[in-house]
Amino acid sequence: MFNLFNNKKRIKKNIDKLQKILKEYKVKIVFTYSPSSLLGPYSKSIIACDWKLHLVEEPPKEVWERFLQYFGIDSKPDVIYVDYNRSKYKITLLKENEVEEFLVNQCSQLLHKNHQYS
Amino acid sequence: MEHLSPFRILYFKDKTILWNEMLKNDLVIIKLALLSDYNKIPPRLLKVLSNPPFEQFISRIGVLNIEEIRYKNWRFFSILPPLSEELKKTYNIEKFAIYGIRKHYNPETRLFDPDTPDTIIIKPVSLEEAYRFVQSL
Repeated sequence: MFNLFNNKKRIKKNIDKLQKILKEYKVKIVFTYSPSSLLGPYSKSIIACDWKLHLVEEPPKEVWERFLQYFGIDSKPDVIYVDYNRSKYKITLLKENEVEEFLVNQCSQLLHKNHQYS
Repeated sequence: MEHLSPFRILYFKDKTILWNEMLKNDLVIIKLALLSDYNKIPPRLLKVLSNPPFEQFISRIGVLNIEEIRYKNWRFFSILPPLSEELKKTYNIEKFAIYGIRKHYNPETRLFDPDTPDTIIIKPVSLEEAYRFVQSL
């Protein structure tokens, strides 16, 4: 019971942190796995929600365009969410006003999942 | 999305076309090398050093920043802008370079030291040297 309470507190703290980061930075790409294999040195990321969620600030224009081309994305999303798991990419395109709610949701799911396995 | 080729791969069979294509690129890595900072390395680790460090190079540079150029069994990598420009400036490169990853050897444990991060070495190669190298393939 005590552990469960602690975990709830931890999740709330992490989500607060995420919301603060979202307000401070212009996030462009979100990875649920290390972004380095795709972006290389541009993977400078802000990590929120333990080690699972990497928020990448605006990458160079060319890299961003190559990214869209690489995944065949024609619509103009504001933020891209990339879930890279077992060398498969699951991509979610987001408009600016959808970002916060979506990420807070993902973040709380991730944190609950982490707790299950730990 | 499933099954994506990680980056663009260009195949060439003709040496002249290959060379002309290389000249068009911003920055071409003509060789990848895995090195160590220590001379006396046991043979089992020497074997590791003779393998080109493709995966380490690709994940360090990032899939979106490279294109591969293939000729016979050779793999060249062209680095795309804006990263190519940054590297050219930092390492004073004209167009061609050798990319080395130096592993740190620990004589006491007789292993590559897992706690010391690998160092990256980028050595510029002159146009003449690169031309001679391509001609020798």
